[in-house]
Amino acid sequence: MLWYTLLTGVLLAVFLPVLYQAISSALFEQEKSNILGVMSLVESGIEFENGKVQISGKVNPSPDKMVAIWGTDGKLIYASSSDDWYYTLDLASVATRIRHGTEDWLYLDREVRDDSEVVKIRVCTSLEGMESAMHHTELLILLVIPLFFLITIGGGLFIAKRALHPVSHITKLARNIGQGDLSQRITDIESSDEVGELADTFNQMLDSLENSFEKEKRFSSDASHELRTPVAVIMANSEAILADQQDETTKEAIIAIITECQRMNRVISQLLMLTRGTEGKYQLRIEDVSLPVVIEAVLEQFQEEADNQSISLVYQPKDVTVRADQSLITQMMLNLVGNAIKYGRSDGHVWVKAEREGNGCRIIVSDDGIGIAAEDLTMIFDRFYRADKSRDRSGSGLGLSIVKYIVDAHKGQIEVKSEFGKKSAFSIYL
Amino acid sequence: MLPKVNGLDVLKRLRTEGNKSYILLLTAKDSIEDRVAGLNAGADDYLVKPFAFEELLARIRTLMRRQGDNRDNLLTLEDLSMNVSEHTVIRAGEKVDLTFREYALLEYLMRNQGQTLTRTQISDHVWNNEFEYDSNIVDVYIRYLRNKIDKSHTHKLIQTVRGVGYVLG
Repeated sequence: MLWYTLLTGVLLAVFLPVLYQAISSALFEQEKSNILGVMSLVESGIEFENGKVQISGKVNPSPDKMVAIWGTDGKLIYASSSDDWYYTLDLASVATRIRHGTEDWLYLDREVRDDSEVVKIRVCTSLEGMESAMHHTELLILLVIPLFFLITIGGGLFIAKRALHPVSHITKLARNIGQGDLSQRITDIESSDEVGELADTFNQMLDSLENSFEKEKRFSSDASHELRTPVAVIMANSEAILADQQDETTKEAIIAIITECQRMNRVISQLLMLTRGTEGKYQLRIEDVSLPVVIEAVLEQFQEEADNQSISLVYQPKDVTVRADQSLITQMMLNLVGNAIKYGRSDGHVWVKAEREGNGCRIIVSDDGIGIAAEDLTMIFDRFYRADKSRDRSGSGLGLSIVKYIVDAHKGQIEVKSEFGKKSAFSIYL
Repeated sequence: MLPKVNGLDVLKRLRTEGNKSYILLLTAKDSIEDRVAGLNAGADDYLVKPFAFEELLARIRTLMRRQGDNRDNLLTLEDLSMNVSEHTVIRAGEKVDLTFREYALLEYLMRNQGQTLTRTQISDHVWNNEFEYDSNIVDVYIRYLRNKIDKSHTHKLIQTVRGVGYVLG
């Protein structure tokens, strides 16, 4: 848009003066030829007769033109008006422009001879007409040009907007698609121009993307299912051997095999979960959930593990009820408290707070454990993300992404603050 | 998956031939759609691979102890009674208010009263694999249920069997 405006402005700035100049010149030329015509006319009205100059009546053409004729002796023979300011001008053999007072004039001299008689004719015409015309032109330009400018800019904007509206529509759709829903397509673009082509191409691209994702999903899903049977066979046989085993070293080895099978199983489950993307399909069962009941039960569940690590669980029950899915909220608290303990330090603490806030409630789970580094903070809610890879080989790395899913499903908000090496706090509003 | 033939087809064929033996599906497929399809085709239970032997044994035991098709409307155990059609639970004459899952859990326990059920059995039947719950959720819900049903009574109905699971009775 800006370029268009600049271009229009530049073109006008260049073109208009040129036009103005052209008009001005044309008019001036017109005046010049006019004055020549008058001169010829005057000339034709002068006759020489027996050494005397006769001036016929034809000589006085119009009131806006002044004619003066001098005789051979330099004496004024004829003057069309009593104005005499132009008598003393320099000789002009070509039409010359001079200024008198507030007006511009054009004057021309000519000598007419006949044997020994020399007559000088001077014709003078006012350029006021021309000036006036130019003035009008000027005014017109000054008036019309801004108008013209505004109209082209406005019109240009309008047309551009209309042409680009489908593009912004496409952009909005693309953004939606980018947030995960590959099934959407760009519809209702009717234009068959470049924008329409863009929309079509986009849709085709999405088709092929969706296709390849589906293929991948199917493959992962099939492969994972296929893997489960061998793992089951290994586990079943290992358990059978273990039951009959007496030798300690062999027993340890078999237990190791079984543990690894369980780990493999977890990975397979995670893979399948990814391919399935169940998350969209879960139906919330909303009931009145008493938070103190949930929190106390969850803390009891972890009491033994906390005691093993000498971590104290601190909670002051306050009566607060929230409209939520009981199972999801329970799972959420399990994950949060479980994490706090897992990443806690010996003799540390886990604090849980749940209070009414506004129309909803706020739950805060904080600890003085190993904390989360600033660069990891934005990614901890991603699936499978593990900040401290050395410490945690248990669990699935999904804990926090599940927590986030649950908070989102309840249309709540979650925030995390952490100081690496010192503490962390998860704050949830529902 | 089975080569050459679909497990569910085999199952359906067995059922249409009138075979009434207990059938437990051992399968790699664990989605809820697969479970529903399996149970609809006539399976009595559904166990996902890989599994621990103990789990399999527990399931088989549960199936063996089934007495016909337990579709009773009224379930009772001592002073606890459950009316399935009215969705009410009463203990010692007092109505007990349960949430959706708490109710589902109690119903499952009552229909299998006296049998020890593993956590996996419970989570499979009560939570149906709909979401990624971990095994802790069963323990927590048992606590919820104990709070509501056992707390103010001397005789505790819900028992823990260490290393295996829970039993009602």
